Amino acid sequence: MRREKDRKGGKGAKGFVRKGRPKVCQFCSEKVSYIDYKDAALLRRYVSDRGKIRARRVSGCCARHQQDVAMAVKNAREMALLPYTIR
Amino acid sequence: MRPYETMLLIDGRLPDAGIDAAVDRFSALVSENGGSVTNVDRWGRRRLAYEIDDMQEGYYVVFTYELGPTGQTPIEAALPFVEGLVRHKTVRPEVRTRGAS
Repeated sequence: MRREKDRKGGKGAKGFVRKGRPKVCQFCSEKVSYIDYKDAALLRRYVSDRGKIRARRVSGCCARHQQDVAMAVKNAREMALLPYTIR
Repeated sequence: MRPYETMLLIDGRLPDAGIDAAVDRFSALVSENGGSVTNVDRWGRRRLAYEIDDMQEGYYVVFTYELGPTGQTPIEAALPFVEGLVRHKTVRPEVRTRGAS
């Protein structure tokens, strides 16, 4: 009889171990209250090499801060601090 | 009075005198509308992330100022007539700041 796989970090029936650690929102852990669109160096980390905004599952942001990041990236794009696309 | 923050993107191909004129014009607009400029941060010429009207380089200036609640509308209305100004963006960081979260 097979046991059900544990959700995270546990060993499954075939000894499968899920790698990694639980993601923590970087902005929450640093208690950031305002994400500045002027900080292009910071925002670049939340943008793919094609210039697209990274998904929450990739960026590890919580819902609130993902919204703030997305808004900041869009503002930065308008002011030509970040590209819309990289071909 | 509310704190505002406006970033101006001025054509980088202009001579320094033209850039100063646009910066001074914005300061004048703020004071004409009853505001007071608290800080002017000149970033200087920076390469743009993408080309705007064949322009590769822009001059960035960030103004922080205090303004009454009715002052921003006439300023925004006057900005398209500022010589050399390519883009501008005004934010009120206090509005976007998250409380205890």
